[in-house]
Amino acid sequence: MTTFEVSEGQVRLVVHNHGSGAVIQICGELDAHSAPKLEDVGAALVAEGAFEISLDMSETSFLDSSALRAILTVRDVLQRSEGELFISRPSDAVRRLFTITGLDQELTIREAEQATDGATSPISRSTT
Amino acid sequence: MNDGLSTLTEEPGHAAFQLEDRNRVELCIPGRLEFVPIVRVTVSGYATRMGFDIDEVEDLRIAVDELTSILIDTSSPQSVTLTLETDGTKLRMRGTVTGGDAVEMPEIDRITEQILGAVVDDYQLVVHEATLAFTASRRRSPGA
Repeated sequence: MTTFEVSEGQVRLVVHNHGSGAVIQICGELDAHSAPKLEDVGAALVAEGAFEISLDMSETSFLDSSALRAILTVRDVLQRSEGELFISRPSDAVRRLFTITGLDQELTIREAEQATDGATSPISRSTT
Repeated sequence: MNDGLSTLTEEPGHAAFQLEDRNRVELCIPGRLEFVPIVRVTVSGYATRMGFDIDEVEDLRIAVDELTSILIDTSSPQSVTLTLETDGTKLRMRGTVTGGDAVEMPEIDRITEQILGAVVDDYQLVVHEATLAFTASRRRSPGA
């Protein structure tokens, strides 16, 4: 597994790449300025062979419509590769916007992060 | 609630948005998206100071983010000026731009409409002399 992180504006994306699967921790505020970075990271992971991406949003303190559109873009890129996007452990702020927009019915939401073999596992807090 | 979009023949918002000196705050930021977090922080601090509860503050933070981002995305302005005021029961916001491209009314997508419709009592985007501006307001809950 490789771990790296990318910062843009008020958000830090911590990526745990397992090859065929990846977890992206979204820490901080994802807005119109920083959301394109999530699209870039998602597209790069898919290009490298990831077909299952989980967005850990437990530490996402703010998001807006641009962030939601970026999440949908990543989902669409994955679906074109017959992959799948999961949202894990959404914070209250995230959950609220998903409910307002109806995306809680469109996205697959997990209350715990899962390893790519399906076993529940805690998310690494590594920032390396 | 209206669709939040209109084209004015008078200067935007002046009839409906009579600014009061008391409790009024103005903030001017460069017209770039990386400065929008400063607007969010300002609205959050202002609404908290004026007695809005934590959920209302969060809603106002979302609203000003969405509307300010629309101004910047649409017209690439030199600067954005945000004005906040409250009469104790309702917080009102106005955003105007200086410089930038001449614009027509932007298309607002479904997600943005849903969010704005949920987080403020009313909002309006207006075009005056090819310049875009917004107004929005949110009433404070009685228990706050």
